[in-house]
Amino acid sequence: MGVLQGVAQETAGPVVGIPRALLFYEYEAFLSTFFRALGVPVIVSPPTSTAILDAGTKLCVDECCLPVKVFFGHVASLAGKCESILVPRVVSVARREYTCPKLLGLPDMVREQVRASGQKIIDVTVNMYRNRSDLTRAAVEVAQHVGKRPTPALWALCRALKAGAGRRLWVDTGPQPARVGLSVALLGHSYLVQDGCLNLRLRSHLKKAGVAQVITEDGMDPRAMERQAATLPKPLFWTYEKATVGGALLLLKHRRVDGIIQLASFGCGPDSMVSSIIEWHCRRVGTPYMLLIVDEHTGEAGLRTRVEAFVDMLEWRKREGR
Amino acid sequence: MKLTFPHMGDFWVVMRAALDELGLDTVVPPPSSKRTVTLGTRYAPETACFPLKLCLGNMLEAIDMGADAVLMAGGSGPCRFGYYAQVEKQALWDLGKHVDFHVLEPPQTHPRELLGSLAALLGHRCSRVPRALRIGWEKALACDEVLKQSLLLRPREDSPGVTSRLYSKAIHAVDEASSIGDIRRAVNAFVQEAGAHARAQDGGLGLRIGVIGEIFMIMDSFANAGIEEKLGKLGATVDRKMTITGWVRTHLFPWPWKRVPGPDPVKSARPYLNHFVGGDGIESVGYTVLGARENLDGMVHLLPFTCMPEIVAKSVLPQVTQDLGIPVLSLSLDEHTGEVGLMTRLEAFVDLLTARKGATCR
Repeated sequence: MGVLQGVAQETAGPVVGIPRALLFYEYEAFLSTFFRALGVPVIVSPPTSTAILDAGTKLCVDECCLPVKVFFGHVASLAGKCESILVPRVVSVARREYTCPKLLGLPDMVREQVRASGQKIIDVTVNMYRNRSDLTRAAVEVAQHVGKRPTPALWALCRALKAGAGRRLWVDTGPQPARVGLSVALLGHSYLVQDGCLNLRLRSHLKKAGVAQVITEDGMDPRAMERQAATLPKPLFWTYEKATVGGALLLLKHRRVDGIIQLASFGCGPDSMVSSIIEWHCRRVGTPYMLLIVDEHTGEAGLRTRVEAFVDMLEWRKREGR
Repeated sequence: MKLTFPHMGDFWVVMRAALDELGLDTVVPPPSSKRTVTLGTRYAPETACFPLKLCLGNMLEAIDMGADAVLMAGGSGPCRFGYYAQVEKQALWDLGKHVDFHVLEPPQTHPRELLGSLAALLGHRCSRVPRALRIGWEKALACDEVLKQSLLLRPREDSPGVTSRLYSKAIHAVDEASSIGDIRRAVNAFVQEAGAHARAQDGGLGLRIGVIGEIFMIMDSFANAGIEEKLGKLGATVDRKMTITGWVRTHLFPWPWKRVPGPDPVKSARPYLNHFVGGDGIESVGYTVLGARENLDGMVHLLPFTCMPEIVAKSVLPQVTQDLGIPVLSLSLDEHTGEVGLMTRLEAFVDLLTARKGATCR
């Protein structure tokens, strides 16, 4: 488990709840450092379970994608455990890029649910589309919500940025001729790849099927990914999907993996476009590619069969020396 | 160069007029049909939204007719529409159809991007641009006027189906018209004929239903399975604020002319939706609030299946219904939509609205 534990830290004052879903997986270190430095006690919802998933499915509009439904479930699991819940409106985290329309509307989607459980919603907008400094304004606004002054908020922000930036340990994505065992890339949103309940323990299935190394996006150099993503005819305007494409292109360029698995949730808008781009590039290079789409109905046995078949095919290719 | 462009309802009339005036060769795709959908869904990404598939189908059929370049709009997110052109180009490329794409979109880094694509398209024809824009705009206004009148007439028509017949005749006449006088005459002829076919009394309670949602699904009567016609035949007057001219204003006009006349839907969407979510999500919420203020009897919300902005709208609309008492029927449509099932849902909705209105009238 990550830096934050599922219990309130030993500081006094009203507790802020953070749902363990969606962008939490990207900014876990950032958020934990920020609130600790600010001296605000935090409670994070427990890791996704079937109960949380079911609760979210009932609360959310039927057509939504799985991660947003799960977010509703996490918000529900925080009811009665904290005074306010952090539901930021993350519009943009990079210049001239957006996140996803559903993240843009997230606070408005869950507002009624939070209000009904008698909690406050911290719906601060983070919009770095034009200017990165918007993050400072957002930090001060969060501090106001929890009754803190701007100066400690800025101080906390500095420490949080430092903590957030230093968390990655990159695997070497350069060419590596001598390889033993299969190496497979697992690409997709962090809230799917890192949430064992949503991806139905995909990593352990890969391991059992005989994959020696699983490479994910957070193990790759973001700047190299960015450079690769910039080679597309039109740069993608979705930040996280841009990283996915960049990662895939980087691995394909160096022929670093035997196969690429992309994990997407059913109904994900950006991934419907991105998957076709990645597939196109994989076909051109001749690297096997599999798109795994998950939703709340996914049966684990079906997923295992597909993973085993894919890995069998990779092993066969390797034996034949292709 | 033979240019083609997607239908998008009656927008092709405007496109053809403007491009003809510029002296460019155009190929209008054949009317959308089952074949268009089949072609589009076969070659588009599986879970892409329906407008992309339909547009790709239109392009494929136009390329079969000899088109070798595509003109379309683009965007800078966060809606998928901004990446349509790239994905469609890739799909056509895979089929060995190497057509040119002219994408008019807000520049990402510098205005010269847009100017560059315009220059590639126009060549030496820049002097004809003002007149092309003028005739295009006039035809857009004409199409909107014909549509508006047809929506008013349909629940009051004296013989079933006469409105739709007159409507397609009028659109054809507007398309044929070569001068601004001809366009206006075509519209006037339609208005007069429509007046002759209207009954004085419409018999029912005079239901007024607003249509909101994603602009392509609203505008393209093939994509939405003729929803306005169906509602009209059920005796409801359709109130539709999102039109061709409105779309052109908000998407293509520069700043001071951008605003659509009437109350601002974006401001009206507060406090239900406080931030734009791409596409037409916030407009859908705003027009529902405005519809409640104008005492519309109900709203029909159209969205392509998996449309991200409209799903956000769909999830806040129940709150609008609860607070302001305006019923909303959300219909998500794609290539699998069965017309009979749709009809049943519309009939049930209209029945519900009639019962509600009858109860309040008494």
